[in-house]
Formats: sequence, structure tokens, C-alpha cells
Amino acid sequence: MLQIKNLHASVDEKEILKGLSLNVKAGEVHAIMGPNGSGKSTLSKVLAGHPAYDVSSGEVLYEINFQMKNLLDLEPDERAKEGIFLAFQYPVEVPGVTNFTFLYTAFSSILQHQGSEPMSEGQFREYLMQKLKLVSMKPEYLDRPVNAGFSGGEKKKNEILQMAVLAPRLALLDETDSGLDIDALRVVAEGVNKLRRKDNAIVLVTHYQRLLEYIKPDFVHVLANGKIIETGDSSLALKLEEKGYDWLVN
Amino acid sequence: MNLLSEEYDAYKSTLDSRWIELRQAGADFVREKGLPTKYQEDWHYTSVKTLASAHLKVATSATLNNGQEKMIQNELSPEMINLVFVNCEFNQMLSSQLPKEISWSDMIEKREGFEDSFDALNAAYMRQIIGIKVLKESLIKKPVRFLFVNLGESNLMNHPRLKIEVGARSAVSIVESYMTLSAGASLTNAVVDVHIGDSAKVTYIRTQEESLGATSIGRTHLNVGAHATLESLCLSTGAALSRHSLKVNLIGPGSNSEILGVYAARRNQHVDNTSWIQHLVGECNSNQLYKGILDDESRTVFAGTVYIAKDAQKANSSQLNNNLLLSDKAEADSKPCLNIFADDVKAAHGSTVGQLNKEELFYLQSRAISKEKAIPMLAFGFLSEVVYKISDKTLQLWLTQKLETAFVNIKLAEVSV
Repeated sequence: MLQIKNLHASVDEKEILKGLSLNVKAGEVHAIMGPNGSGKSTLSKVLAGHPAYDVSSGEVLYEINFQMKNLLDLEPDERAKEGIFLAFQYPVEVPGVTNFTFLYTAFSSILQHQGSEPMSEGQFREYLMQKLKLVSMKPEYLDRPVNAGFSGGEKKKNEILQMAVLAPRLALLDETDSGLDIDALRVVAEGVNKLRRKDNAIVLVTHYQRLLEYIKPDFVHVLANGKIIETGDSSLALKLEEKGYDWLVN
Repeated sequence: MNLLSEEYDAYKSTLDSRWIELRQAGADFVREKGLPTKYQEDWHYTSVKTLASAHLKVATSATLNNGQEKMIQNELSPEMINLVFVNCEFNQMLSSQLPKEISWSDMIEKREGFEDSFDALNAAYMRQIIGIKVLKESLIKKPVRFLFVNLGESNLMNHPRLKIEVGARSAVSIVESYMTLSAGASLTNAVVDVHIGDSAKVTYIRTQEESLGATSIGRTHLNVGAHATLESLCLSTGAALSRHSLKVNLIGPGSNSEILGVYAARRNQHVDNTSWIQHLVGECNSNQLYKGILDDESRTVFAGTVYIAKDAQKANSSQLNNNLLLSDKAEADSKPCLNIFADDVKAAHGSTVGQLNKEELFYLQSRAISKEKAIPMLAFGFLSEVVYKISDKTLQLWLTQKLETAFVNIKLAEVSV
């Protein structure tokens, strides 16, 4: 579904990713771990198409209609329409735009792109009610401005709500566990687990092994200095928890 | 300038003699001072030069044709008490009945001075002072809306003058709206005075949606009594050139005033909001928030002064103006100003002029919302945040629809971010 080959990317003319390669297939969950500043967040931003990041070489291929296409050619909204979803490490506050309008516009854009019948606001509200339950959010959230005045935990739950609503094929979760207390972490992890399917893939970027106790990955990668330097199964995460990164990096 | 020419004397002789002194005082003032120029500080950013060369005609009684009548009817809301004035003449057929707590009232006014030449020009030309009284201790459920329609043909000018008195401990929402029915050059020059009695609760909304050929000048004075609550919002999306000056006089202690404004400017529109919030007595709160978006080659002015008198101790005041530029060629001038003479006060003020927040834009794009959709959504959100501060839900929704209409006309998609 996703093939990253020798990717080099920079922000503010500083190279962060220095030849990263990664293959993700449908149905897989990949965890990307690594020390601070290793390029974990850069990877998810580049994949989602953040304009501040420049790709100098390498390629990113993504399966669209059974063909591998150059993902980097697409605008961020086109990538989202093709099923890429980034759960932000720091979800953005959008005052004056309600969650409902935001979700409805996003959902309708995807429907339109797929050539599906549009859904009325009323139908969509009903559809949302089930999704809200998934992340234990109250319906009142829908009429509040996007993330404005939300606590850290509410913001992260809101990201998972959006993920549930938009049903992506490839979800990138950028440190979704950071800043969450244990209860919120469980809610978020359960939400993610319920969204796991055979035809979608999840890439989790995380600092800590803790999240992986709830969401069991098929692969764990260690990202250091802009490259993946080690790949293993979920036992690698436990080893990292015990030994840190130094034994790999040096 | 043809104003106050021989034609004026002929016109004046046809008018109601009740306000003869006021008219004379107004005419004398304008003859002496002329129209404001940029050398006057309050008019530094807004030029009314084009009016000087325009040949304006005073609006007279008009019979509406079917099309015009329909346009006005479409504008009326069944959720409001509508009072329609066409070319400053009351149109009974299009208007609602007043509830028993509200009455028309003869307003005799002698004026000691004028704020500026437009204020005086209004006095010279106005047909009548439209007076309304809201009885004390009455609760008016539906908003009372004054809709001033300028037919707008062939350089017509209108000078509406409105005076409202809200009795003590009453609650009422007042809406004052301006619209023009045709696209040609026209002038509206309105003067509105609202007196809010002690412990009254008033929502005051002003909407200016005149056509893009219009010049729209208005001045509003809100006098706020002791322990009264005021929520005001001035929306400006129309006219080629508009200027609204708002004076809020806090004349009794313990009042709370929320003073809001939204404006959306495009093409060559010029939108000026000038305000004076005057804490004349102590223990009053005033919060002012004006937000605007600017597209194309539009220009906006916010000049706001908060004055806190020497004896107005324990005043609490904030003033903020935020502008969102959607084009490199638009220009926003923002001049917040504090004049504090008391020593025990809290006062904060600030202003910003900036572009769309790139992180917000990316966030929306990452949710499959194209830039072409995301930009108007964000700009709309930027303004609707202000509208959400109006606590009356009917008015909030009504204002949101007004903003939506304005956004249909703004082609934000061409913006480069």
C-alpha cells in the first residue's frame, strides 16, 4: 500500500530524513519509535503533505485504484481523499468553525471524490452519534468550535473521532499517546483498535512502549538520525523500553 | 458640492416645521465647516471627496413597484417586528404592528453641537425624527427591526434619524438595517440615538448591506444607564464607502457592555469603523471586539478610543481589533487608543493585521477539504466567532445567514496563501 524509498526531506533547509525506506501493506500496524529529533514527526508531516517540508530525493509510492502512484505529487487534501489520515501530535484549534461543519465538509469532500451519493446533514448527524460513542465523546462537542478550548485529552480523542468518521486506508498517528492520562489513553487505543481492518494500515509514531501495550503492532521500527536502523516485531519495543536506544544508535 | 444649495431651501419649506431650529442649526454648521477632510484626525483615513462632486438629490416619497416590494419582503424576517422605511418614509403595509409596550413618540430635539458635518447634514435634511419608546419593565420577545431602504436610483440621498428610549428594567433587541435596491450611486447618512434605561437589557444590532455603488455614513450614540446590560454588534458588508461612528456613553455605574463588530470588504470597498467608548462613571465593564476580513484591493479602518474619565474608578475595559488580509493589495488600518484619567482601572487593548493561519489551513486540507473550500471556511470562522458572542440565538442565526450571504459574493478561492 505504501512504499517509501530512500526519502530525504528537510525543513527550513535542515535535512531531517536522510534516506528513509519503509514498506507498509494493507492490514498491518507499524510502530515507529526513536529518540527525540530523529525525524518521526517529519515523516508523518511529509506523508500528509505539510507545505513546510521539502523532499529533496527519494520517492513515496501509494496505492490508488490498484496502482502505485507518486504520493508526493498530490496536494494534502487529495491525499486525504485517497484515504491518508494524519492524527496530529498537536491538533490545531479552529475558532469559529464548529466540529460538525468541519466533519461534514470533510466527509462530504471524500464522498464527492468517491463519486458517492451525498449525505444530508441530518443523516450525517445520526452517523456521527455512533462514532462519538467509540471515543466516549458527548454530542455537545459537535457544536463547539474545532479544538478551541479543548483539553489535551479531548483534542486527541477528537483526532480519533475524525479518523473514525473519515475511515482512512492509511492512518498515521503522530504521538497520539503524548499528554494522555491512562484513561484517555485506553479510550484512544480502543478507538484505534476498533478501526483496524484487513484493508487498512496504521503507522504509529510514538516515544513510549506504553501505547503498544494497547495497540499491538506487527512491526516495530527504530528511526534514528533520519533513517530506519532496526526493524523487528513487538518484542523490539520491549527491548527498547528496557535498554533505551543507545545500544542501537552507537 | 450641491448640498444645501438653492434646492435645499425649496426642499426645506416642504418639511414638518417641528424641527425647524434643529434643521437651521445643522445647515449653518455644514455651510460653515463643509464636509470633513483628511486633515481632521477622526477622518484621517477616510476620504469623502467623491461626495463633494456628486450631484445628490434628496429622496422623496416613492411608490414601490412589484419587484421592489418583493425585494423588501424577502429581506423581512417573520421572527422580528419589522418597521420599514422607504426613502425615510414609513411603509405601513410592509411593517408589523407594534406591541403595546412600544409606542411611537414625538421627539423634540434641540442640539447644542454636532459631532461632525454628517451629523449636521442629517439634521438639515432629515424628514422627521423617528421616535420609539419602550415602556419600563417590559419584555419584548421579538427583535424590533428598523429597515431603512434607499431606492438608490439617480443619486438619491436619505437621512434617517432615529431616537429610541428603552425604559428602566426592560429587555429588548433592536436591529437597524440599511439596504439599497439598485446599484447606482447613493448616499445614506443616518443618525441614531439609543437611551438604555437603568437595569435594562438591550441587544443592539446594526447591519449595513447597501449596494456597491452606495456611500453609507452612520453615527450611533448608545447611552447606557446604571446596571444596564448591552450587547451590540455592527455588521458591515456593503457600500463602496462606509463609515460608522459609534459612541457608547456609560452614564450610570455598574453596567456591562459587549461592543462587537464584523466587516467583510472586497473589490475597492472602503469600510471605516470609528468608535468612542466613554466610561463617564465608575464600575462599568466594556469589552470591544471588532474583526474584519479584506479581499482584493479593499481598505478598512478601525479607530477606537476608550476614554475613562477621572472619576470613573474601577472601570474595566478591553478593546481588540483583528484583521485578516486575504489579498496582498488590501490594506487594514487599525488604531486602538486609550485615554485614561482615572487611576484605579483595568484596561487592555490591541490589534492585529495578518494572513490566514497556515497551520489551520493545512489542518483542514489534511481532512480532505480543498484549499478553495478551506479558505472561505476559515475566513468565515474568523468572523462568526464574533457573531457567536450574541446570546440571542435567533439573532445569532440571522447574523450568521447575513455573513453567509456576504461570503457568497466574496471570491476567496483566488487567494494565494
